[in-house]
Amino acid sequence: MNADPARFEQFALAYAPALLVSIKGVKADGWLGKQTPDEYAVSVAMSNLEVLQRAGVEGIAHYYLNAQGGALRSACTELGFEYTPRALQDFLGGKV
Amino acid sequence: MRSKVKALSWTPKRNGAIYCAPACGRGCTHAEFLNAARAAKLMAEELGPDWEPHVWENLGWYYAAQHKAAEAKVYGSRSQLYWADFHFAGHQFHADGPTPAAAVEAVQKVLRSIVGAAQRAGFELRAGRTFARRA
Repeated sequence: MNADPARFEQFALAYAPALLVSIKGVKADGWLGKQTPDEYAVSVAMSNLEVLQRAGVEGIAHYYLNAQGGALRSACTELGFEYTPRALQDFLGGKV
Repeated sequence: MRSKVKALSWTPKRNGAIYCAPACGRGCTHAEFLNAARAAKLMAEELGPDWEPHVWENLGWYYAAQHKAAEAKVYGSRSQLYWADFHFAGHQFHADGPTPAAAVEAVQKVLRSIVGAAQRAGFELRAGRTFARRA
């Protein structure tokens, strides 16, 4: 099931800044190539959001906490609920 | 009902600069993998001979150091804060710190305080005192 578009947009607006904060501190000692940490953070946020949107409501649990758990948790707190895969699914599915 | 959809593999595949598993699908890069592997190796070396590096993928490459004997891991972080996660006898003890060793020390401090409290409680019990309010 696809995420409710309005809900996904709300989620993206909460998740992307949290992820950017988490990634901007990355040590850029050569392995990023020509990318700056800021550019890298934006590209990761974009690609992650694309994957999560593609995954849909059921698929989002597949990525669980070991993927930028801090950012997911922060985003959900910002949205007013405590992160669990189920709680996020319910939010994106428009159930709550 | 069992799903007919075949579970995607978490085994990463190399395709040029990309090193990513079908189950992830983010397009994680080989450079990210190498960076995580290097950070894991450095962290395990810093923690000592009882620790070994561990890397995994899930919307990016991540790293940790795993204790060889105990159920204990220290996780690396992009925010330069390290999280130590220990499991003993069905209980979880965790703390973070600015370095891997500091994170481990923070967990050890928690454990020492628990042991100290338990020893004091044991002394109280041996001394014939009780925690229950007397009627």
